[in-house]
Amino acid sequence: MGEKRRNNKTAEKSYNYMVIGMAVIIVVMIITEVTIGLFLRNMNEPEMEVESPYKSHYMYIVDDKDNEFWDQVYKYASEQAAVDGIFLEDIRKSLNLNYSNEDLLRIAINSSVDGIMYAGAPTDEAVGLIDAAVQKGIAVSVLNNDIDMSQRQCFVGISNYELGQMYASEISKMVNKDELGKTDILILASSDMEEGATALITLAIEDYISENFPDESLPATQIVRIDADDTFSVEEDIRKLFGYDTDIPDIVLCLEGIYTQCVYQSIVDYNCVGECQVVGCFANEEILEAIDKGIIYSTISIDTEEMGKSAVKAIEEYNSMGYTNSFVPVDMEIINKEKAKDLIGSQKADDGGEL
Amino acid sequence: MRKGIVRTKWNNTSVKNKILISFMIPIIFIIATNVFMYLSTNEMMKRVNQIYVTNVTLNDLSENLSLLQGATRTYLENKSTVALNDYYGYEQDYRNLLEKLDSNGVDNKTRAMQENIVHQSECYLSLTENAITAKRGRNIVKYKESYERSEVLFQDIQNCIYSLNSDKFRTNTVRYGALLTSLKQLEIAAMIILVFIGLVNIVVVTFVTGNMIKPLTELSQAADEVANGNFDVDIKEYESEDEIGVVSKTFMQMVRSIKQYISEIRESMLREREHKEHELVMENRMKEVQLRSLQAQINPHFLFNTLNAGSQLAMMEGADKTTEFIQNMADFFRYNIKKINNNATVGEEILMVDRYVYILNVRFTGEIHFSKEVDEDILSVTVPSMILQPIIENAVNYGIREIDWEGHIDLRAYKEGNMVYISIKDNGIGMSEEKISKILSGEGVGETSSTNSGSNGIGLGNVIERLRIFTGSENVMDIYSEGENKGTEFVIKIPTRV
Repeated sequence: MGEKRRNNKTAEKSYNYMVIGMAVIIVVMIITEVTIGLFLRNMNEPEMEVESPYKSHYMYIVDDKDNEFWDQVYKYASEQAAVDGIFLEDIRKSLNLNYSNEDLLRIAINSSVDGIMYAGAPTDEAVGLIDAAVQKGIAVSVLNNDIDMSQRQCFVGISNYELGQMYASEISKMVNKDELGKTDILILASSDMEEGATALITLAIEDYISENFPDESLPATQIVRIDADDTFSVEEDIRKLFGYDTDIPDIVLCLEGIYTQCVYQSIVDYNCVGECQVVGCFANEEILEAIDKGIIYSTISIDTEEMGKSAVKAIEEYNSMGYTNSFVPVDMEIINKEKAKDLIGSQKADDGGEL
Repeated sequence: MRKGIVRTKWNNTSVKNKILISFMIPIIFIIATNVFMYLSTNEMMKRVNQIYVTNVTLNDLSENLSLLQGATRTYLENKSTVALNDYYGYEQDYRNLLEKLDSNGVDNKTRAMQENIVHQSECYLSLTENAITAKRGRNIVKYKESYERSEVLFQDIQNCIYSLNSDKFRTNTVRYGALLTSLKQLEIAAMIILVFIGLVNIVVVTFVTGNMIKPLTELSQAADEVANGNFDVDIKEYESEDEIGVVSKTFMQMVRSIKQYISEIRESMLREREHKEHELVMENRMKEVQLRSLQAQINPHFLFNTLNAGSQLAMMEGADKTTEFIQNMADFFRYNIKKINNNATVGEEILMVDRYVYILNVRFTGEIHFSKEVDEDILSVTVPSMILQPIIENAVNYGIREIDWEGHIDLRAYKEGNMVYISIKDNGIGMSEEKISKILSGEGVGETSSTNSGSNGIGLGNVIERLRIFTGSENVMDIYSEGENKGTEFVIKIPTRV
């Protein structure tokens, strides 16, 4: 009986091999088809990062100089815009060609965007285009330097008077009060900056010293305009101030970040460390390290996050409410050696986090 | 149940179909895999081709915009109908192409740029239309202004298209690279899968065909052994009803038949040999009897002739008793000579005993009292000749000759069933059990010999042996004796038909 069963099993082996083999092949084929199907479907995954459609479209138009500062402003502004369902387009970076701010304003108007964040020289053409945009129903928010002769809805930036006061407080820390009258102060400002704005800064410095040191003479202040139209003139103009045949100022006040970096490099190159004290503007890694090394005394950092987010909020408010504040002030902060050390430490801890 | 039916069907499928199925199914799987791979690759190639569709659309848009701008300029220059028709044609094409700019499934940056292009294009088309209308109205200032503004917008739109195109080309190139990598991976996967399925197929086909051929191999080995004379081969019974199963079963049946046939032949040969051995023994015994008879033949012939002469002489002298005696003597020897080589009947044997007892009584002056009781029905039953006389002779010589009392010999012949019994009983000195055993086993053959005076030369052993050969049975004679001086009884047992 057992032998018979064994013989039957032997006889069935070919059938079993066939069934098992075919089952294996079918399983492999199903797995293959499913795997390849999933593979084909997921192949487009990198491209399928579809963003939810925005409800409003704002355009970000700033100078192509001082990219680091404006990149930070754009980053925070985009974050705020994304929260509110707005797409903030950095049109200069989107276009491969080099356009002027006015050209970009024109494109923004013709593109019928919902809002414009603008930072540029207050030229007549720019004023006209801002007015045209406003007339077309496009809200315009001006950043950093106000173009108050235009019909812009809002200016988001610093108070130049307050800025001057902060510079003055730093000057008073650097110089003995007895020597204030003998101190030469050089203020580096952009040629785009309105005369009134630089005058306000100078006035604020003088006011501060007069109030705090009434018996002392006022320092000699000189404003040097850096050509904003020529891309490479900033570094050359600044370098000339530290040449061997020139009188090096006691204190240099930089009103833009790029000026701070160029002054720092010139002081190092011309071995003027200790001879010339610098109060900069903006804070990046290089400037913080210079402060830490004592080459730059301190820097005034504008709150880029507040500037970016406030500008977006102002346009959004105008679009929804029909009005907004015409001036939204942005905080400033003095970063001295101690603060710079802390920031560098925290930056290292964050492994390259933003300042 | 269904599985069992399929299995049974498989088992009953012919070898040709099994091999065909074993090869066809793997081939179908490989073809199916190839087709699937081909379709998958085709799908991927479609996607690869789809990658640059957006670039093509943007190029078309840019080209159409240039044509539109050219047509506008041409119309403003010469106001030709052809240019106007071109303008309207290009304008429509341009609007159609703008609608093709799909904002679904793209990132916000692309979507925003597409919106910029669309909105600027609307402004542009409005300006060109104004310029065309002003041209028709011959408003030179207006159409010049509109054209100049459209020229600026044309450049802006072209730059936007160019920028978007470049951006898309950059991302598409990344996708293209990724797709090409995926395509290569798919090719490698396809190769691996094909190789794997191929290997599985080889294994399956090897096992299936191997298993199909296995019974054949066993069958060939068994056939080889059978050819070498070993019929005790044992091959596994193949359950399948295919050709191999049929051949296997038939082969086993053939081997069994051959074995049975050989066994029958062997048995037959054995029987024949035994028969021949019997015949040889019989012939041997008969020759022995013949030899002894020949040794004693001279005397019977001489005595027979002499006795005939003596009988005639006694008759002439009127001596009746002498004549009767001599006549009985002559008949006794005649029978002895006549039947030595032939069988006799029970009647002839009993008649022979009567003559022998008469001679002995003459010789021993009537000391032997002989009586007989014979069933008439058995007189014609054939028995070997000369079987009763040696027993009578033995009863006289060793039974009653030396006794002090009156000697009796009783013969009784009767039938019981199919057997004929001939009993010869004396009241002589009897026989021990040991002696009886010796006689029946053949050891007591020499007790009556040719050398013994008054004997015809045939002993009891010879009688028993001939009876055994004649009947084919060992149990042909019983000897009973109740002890010393209590006589002996010999009982011969012969079947009525031998």
